[in-house]
Amino acid sequence: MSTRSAATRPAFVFDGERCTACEACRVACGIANPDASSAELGWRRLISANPARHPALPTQHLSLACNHCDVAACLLACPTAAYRRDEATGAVLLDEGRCLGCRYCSWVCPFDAPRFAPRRGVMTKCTFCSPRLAEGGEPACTAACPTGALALGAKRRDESEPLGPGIAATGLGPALLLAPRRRSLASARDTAEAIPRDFALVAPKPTRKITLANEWPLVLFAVLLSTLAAWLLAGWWLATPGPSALLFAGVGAASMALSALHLGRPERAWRALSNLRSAWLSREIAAATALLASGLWHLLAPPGSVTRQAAGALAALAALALVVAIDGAYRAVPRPHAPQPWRPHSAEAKLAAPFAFCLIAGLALPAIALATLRALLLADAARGGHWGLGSRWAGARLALLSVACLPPLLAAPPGSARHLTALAVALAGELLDRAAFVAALEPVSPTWEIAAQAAEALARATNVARDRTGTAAAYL
Amino acid sequence: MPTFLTACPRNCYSTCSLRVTVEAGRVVEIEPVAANRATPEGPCLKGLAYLERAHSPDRLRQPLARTRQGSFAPISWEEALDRIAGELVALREELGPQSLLYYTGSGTKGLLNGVGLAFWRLFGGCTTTYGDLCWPAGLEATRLTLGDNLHNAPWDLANARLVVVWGKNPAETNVHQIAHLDRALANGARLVVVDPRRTETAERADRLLQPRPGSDGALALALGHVLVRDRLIDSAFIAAHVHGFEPYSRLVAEWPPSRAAEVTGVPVAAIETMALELGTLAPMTIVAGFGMQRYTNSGQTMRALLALLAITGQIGKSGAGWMYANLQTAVFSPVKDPLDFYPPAEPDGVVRVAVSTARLGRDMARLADPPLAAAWVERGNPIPQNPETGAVLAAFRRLRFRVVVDEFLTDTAREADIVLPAKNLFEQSDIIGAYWHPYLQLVRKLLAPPPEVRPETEIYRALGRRLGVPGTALAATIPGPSDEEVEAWLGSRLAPLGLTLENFAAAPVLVPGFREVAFSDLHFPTPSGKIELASAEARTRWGVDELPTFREPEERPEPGGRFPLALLTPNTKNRIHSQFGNLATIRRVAGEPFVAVHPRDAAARGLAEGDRARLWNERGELVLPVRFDWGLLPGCVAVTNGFWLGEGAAVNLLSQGRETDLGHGAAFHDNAVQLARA
Repeated sequence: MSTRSAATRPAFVFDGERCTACEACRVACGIANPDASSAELGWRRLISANPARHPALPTQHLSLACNHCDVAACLLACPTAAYRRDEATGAVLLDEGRCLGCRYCSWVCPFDAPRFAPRRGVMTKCTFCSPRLAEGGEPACTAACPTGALALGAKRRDESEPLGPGIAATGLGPALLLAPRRRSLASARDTAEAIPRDFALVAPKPTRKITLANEWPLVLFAVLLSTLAAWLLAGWWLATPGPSALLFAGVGAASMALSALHLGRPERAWRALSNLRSAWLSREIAAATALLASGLWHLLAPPGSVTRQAAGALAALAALALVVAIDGAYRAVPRPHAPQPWRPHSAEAKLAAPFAFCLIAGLALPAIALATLRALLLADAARGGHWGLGSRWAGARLALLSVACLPPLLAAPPGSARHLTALAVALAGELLDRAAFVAALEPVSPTWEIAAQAAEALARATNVARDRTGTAAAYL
Repeated sequence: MPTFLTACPRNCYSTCSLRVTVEAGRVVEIEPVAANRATPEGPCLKGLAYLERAHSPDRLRQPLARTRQGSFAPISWEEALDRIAGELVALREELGPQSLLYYTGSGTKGLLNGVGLAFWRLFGGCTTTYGDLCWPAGLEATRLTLGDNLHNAPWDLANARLVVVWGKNPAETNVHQIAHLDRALANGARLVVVDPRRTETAERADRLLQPRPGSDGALALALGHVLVRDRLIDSAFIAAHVHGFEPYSRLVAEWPPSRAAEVTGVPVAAIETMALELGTLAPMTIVAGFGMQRYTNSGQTMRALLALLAITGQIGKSGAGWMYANLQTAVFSPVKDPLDFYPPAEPDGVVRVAVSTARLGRDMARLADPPLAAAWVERGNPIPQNPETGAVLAAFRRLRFRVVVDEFLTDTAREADIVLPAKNLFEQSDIIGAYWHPYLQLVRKLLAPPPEVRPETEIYRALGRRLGVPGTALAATIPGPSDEEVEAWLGSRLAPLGLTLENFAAAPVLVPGFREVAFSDLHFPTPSGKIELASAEARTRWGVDELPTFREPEERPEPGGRFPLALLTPNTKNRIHSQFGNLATIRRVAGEPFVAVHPRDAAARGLAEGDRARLWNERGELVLPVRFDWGLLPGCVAVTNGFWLGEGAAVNLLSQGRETDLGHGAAFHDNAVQLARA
């Protein structure tokens, strides 16, 4: 079969012009993989742009499963190393028995290939029908396509990235070839039609991959652990009152337990350390564990002892690593149309942790400097700039963080009631800011791409209509 | 693992060849058969879903009897057949055999289906229906115009330079045609779609014309007007092969685009442009569907469409022609559709062909001398699928006794006194033709039926013995129970064609006498031997004008009136009529029923997307969620047909039992409704 050679690899070939959304591919996938998911029919999905047949927009479809990328983001990011590549076929395979259901692979996959299977509590993903492929056959979906829109082909290693409706440039080398458009997609209707304006009613409705309802334990985890680290290190370095060993151990353990709450299979949480080589999540958990161990050692060691100082230094290193790992995990999530270079979010750990350190330690000037920087980033988010989605909460976050700056300004002594109240307010502000960050973190996804492309096309069409008629007509 | 060649016997254009893998008594895989040039890429989602359907837990696996409480209880075959025989013998003696209605639908194709009527003749007779739900107006229009229902091979569409898809949505109802259409488009062909809906097929079109439902005939006459006016016609072809051009040209002279624009709502410019394309782009194929021939004026509509090909000389050539029904494979009976489903000119006194299937409920109730007292239903689900479900249901309930043979407990089966489990397509061999492609195919027995399931042939043999039919007569009519006997019976039907079952071992068989280009000899079996734009038979048989004149349908929405919306009830890719929708696989794809509404019509009623709306007329009511469809012609609403009563979306609760002007078809789309918040 021509799909195997050193220079090429098997790939899905999709021709959007030939697809009629007949869904035979989905049915074939569901039949060939009855265990794929209880909720859905197999792994393959069909995404349609313009389901409501807006007159100014073409209707086009995208049939998508896993593209078994050359650089498999899921494989690199999985903290349990549950993914592996099948050398014979190039398929990226998921071992559901290792998966702990953290869903992080779905964040980093720009094609929405890994899906959460709620009943099993793990992720599940297209296998390229690799046993069939290995026998010289083809995947069930491509074999079943009755119009030839979806096929199995061969992709050259040096072939450029596919780009098309719903498919963003990823740099991952997906095993996907898209047939170029040959015909104009302008909707050609000869009945007199005005162009409706109410886009909300026609836009495809994207599904959010990251929601606070799922991810709130991670918000608590990041804020609590970075605050705890700041408190500990302020005590170690500046001899301000630190946490008691009991409190440190309690909050630390609670944070770790919280982070396991959002897992589909919490009993497998220990596997999260399995991929230090490439997964930020593994590094994050390793750093957090090291912080808690060395911090506790520091607090239990006799005051003034070399052990206590050494443990404190170790904890400082672990805290630094934790901050880098937390931010690394979120930065690795590909965001749609994000302007380059990446502009930090005010809630990132590298800003939030030092800020907490300054507040706890009563370091007024650095606290004000950091607060100003974060306020500028907030203002940027509120303008809907780099981070978007910020306006709703930006005011509240700004207010809370500003209040938190007041005690150092007024030189409230560390440990005083006024200082502690201010810290509590600051903690609330941090939680709010972090929640906004997670809520704003919508990863690249074909549904969002299609929605964005439809919005652009509609804006163009509306402008054309306005130019032609002097005013945009509307039904509603 | 062994794989077998078989075919899908559903009432569908595509009639796919299937390669089936069987493992441990189960169908485990269904794959494409490239040897079928019409459907080389393989079956649709429904064909794939046979994996579930064949072994579905919902399948009926033993006879059921209605209990006093109205539910069903399993009974033995002995008990079921004894009861049926007892009822039928009593009816035969009391009222005569014609008090039994033998009703068959189009659920499964096959030569063995013919055994049923032959059996009821042995019983002493019965009453049957005439006409057909699906396509008679178009068949009869084609027969009157061209003399026969034939068209070019499906793959010949790739040679067209202009394709007009009129009232058909092959993307959903004949998905394999899309591949041939795509080849034409890749070769530079232009595509015009005429449909009140912006269908998936229309997405490929260069132009979509959306005439008001039921006005297609006026559009066709105006197109003819421009073609004649601008001399975009093939005069030599007309002179040699067309009968009635002079009166036709006088008729279309009365239909300038301005008049048609008023009637159809299609702008004058669009009519002019389309006419220019019809007159200048050749070869041209009109792919005509069933949608616009389900009105009370639709036979004449179809004749008006056919005329466009006649006057442009686009018949009998590659890439050209009228792609409506290809009955090249109808080789087993001397009388073809549509003639074979008309009532006989002279009744034989045994089989009373007296119930119009379009008016099933009311005709059943009306019949006298003898009145109907019992019904035997096979391969059909008439309660939700024939027009005027309320009347059909009432008529069935009025009967004394009902038997339904089916694979599943359908809406009709739920009304039965006895339900007999039916075989499926993998459990008895049969031979089928098609009505789009030219292949004869063997539907092959691959599995033994479940222990308590018997094919119809066996049901009839066992029943015949109880009804006192002589064994010799049964043996002469019905093949025996063994595979060899069934195959011998099929072989005897193939022999006159010079075929044996061995011919079907590796590939579907092109029908003997197959012609890739229909009417290529320009011989038209009409009274004049020419293409008839004026047909005397149209007047004598049907009482319509000899010319394809336009008149409005009997029932149409009145803007501002009580029922201002036209209800369209198209087919969906997810089902064949009421089949397949009960399978979990299909349900996950199809989702819940909904009514498609243009946002403008919704806004006028204060309806938002997702609101539950009442859709009603004087015949019935449905309550469905609203889905916005900007592509629908305003003034139309659409609900796909084939939902079951239990799903709350059986569309024929709203339709009326009415015949089309030609062919005894069902005018499903003469259906005006109103919509409001529920």
